[in-house]
Amino acid sequence: MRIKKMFLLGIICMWIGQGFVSASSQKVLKMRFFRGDRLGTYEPIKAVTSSYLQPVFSANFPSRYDPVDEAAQIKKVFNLVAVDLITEADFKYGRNLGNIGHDWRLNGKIYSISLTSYSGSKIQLEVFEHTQVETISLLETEFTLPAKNIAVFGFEDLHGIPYFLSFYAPDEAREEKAGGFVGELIESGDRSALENAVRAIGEIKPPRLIREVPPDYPEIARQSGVQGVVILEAVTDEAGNVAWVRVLRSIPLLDQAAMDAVRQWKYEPYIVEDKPKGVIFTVTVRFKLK
Amino acid sequence: MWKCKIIDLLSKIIPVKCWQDFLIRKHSAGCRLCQNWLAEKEDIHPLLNLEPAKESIKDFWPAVKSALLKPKPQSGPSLGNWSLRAALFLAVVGIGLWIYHNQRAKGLQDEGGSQEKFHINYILIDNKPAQTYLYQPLDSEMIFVWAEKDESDKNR
Repeated sequence: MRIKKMFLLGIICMWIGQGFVSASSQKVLKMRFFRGDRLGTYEPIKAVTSSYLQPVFSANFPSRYDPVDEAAQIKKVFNLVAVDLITEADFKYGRNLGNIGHDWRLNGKIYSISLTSYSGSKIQLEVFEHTQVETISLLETEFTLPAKNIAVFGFEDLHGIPYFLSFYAPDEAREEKAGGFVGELIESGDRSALENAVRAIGEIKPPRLIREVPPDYPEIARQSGVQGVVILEAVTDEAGNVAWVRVLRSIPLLDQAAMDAVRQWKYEPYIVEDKPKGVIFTVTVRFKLK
Repeated sequence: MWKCKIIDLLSKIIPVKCWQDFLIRKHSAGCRLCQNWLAEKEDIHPLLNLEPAKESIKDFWPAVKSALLKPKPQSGPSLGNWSLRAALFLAVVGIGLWIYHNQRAKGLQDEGGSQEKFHINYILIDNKPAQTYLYQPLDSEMIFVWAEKDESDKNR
């Protein structure tokens, strides 16, 4: 009787212990979305507003998954004139990814992806373009992604513009050791705006940009030939003004200019049950030398 | 055991004394565990020589008496020993966690190792099978997949 009880207790303890171990071992699926340009004639990408992302700090990225190198590889393989990073996200998960989505607004269009994974490294991916009248499936696939590989999926939108989605699911334990210093948080604005704001995930779409003020290219960055993408986490207040921002992907010479510009932007207010609410989302600001 | 606990609880809830007595006696007459427990109590011993009060439980006190007289096993360390039980319990948990960690480490090794390969099950565009091209540069872990609408589909 007592042995049976002890055996049962042991199994319960092991089950709880296993839960703790699983919860503590988090995996990460890193995703990047690029736009390709075949002839150099496409409308330039200015700013991209996307759904809330898990903070991704550039200092933590292993060098083999650098966006500049990756864009260069894509450009070379597909013989393109230019490749621009549009958005990126880190999806953190425990045993399985489950079902997650990510949306972004690019030059007035809304794109979304849906990722599903219920067994190890097998991932189901769907990419959609939303027009005013319908939702088009641009790509649907199921693939197995080993930790060592970076998979880049290329496809075209309704207008024939090439897009590329890359996925990388590193063995986090190994990458952490290889990873570097995590930089200081750079932020601007009123942090209390975060308290009543909702995150733009799932049903809550990233807000529509109404007024955009272009960033001032810092002279020192121009002279040094520094260009690239700064990714910010932004929070709007009830009126749609950007109340607080912080840097997720940093280019030291361009961070302040990006934050100063985005703080002046205005978004469509988000209304919940007839009341306006602040929204937390992600903004990609591009700096390109002419 | 759980029956004993239920009877104990009921006897506390029932407000009438004679019903409480009846419930406890009725249960104890048929419960080996309760009889053993009673037999270990010194205060009970004088009662063992009394006649049972009711016909229905006439076997009760003789049963307790026989439990008392029954020789107890005299052995060294036994499972009744708390320290041994604790050690056994820790050993079970330890072995379980060791097996779990080994399995997990093996799983991670398989995932990250060379055994698993990049694999595509299907690619669809606008819900139709797509024309797909796959390319992996030499000495690179990057795999490029280009998917476009099937030519026959484009002409439609």
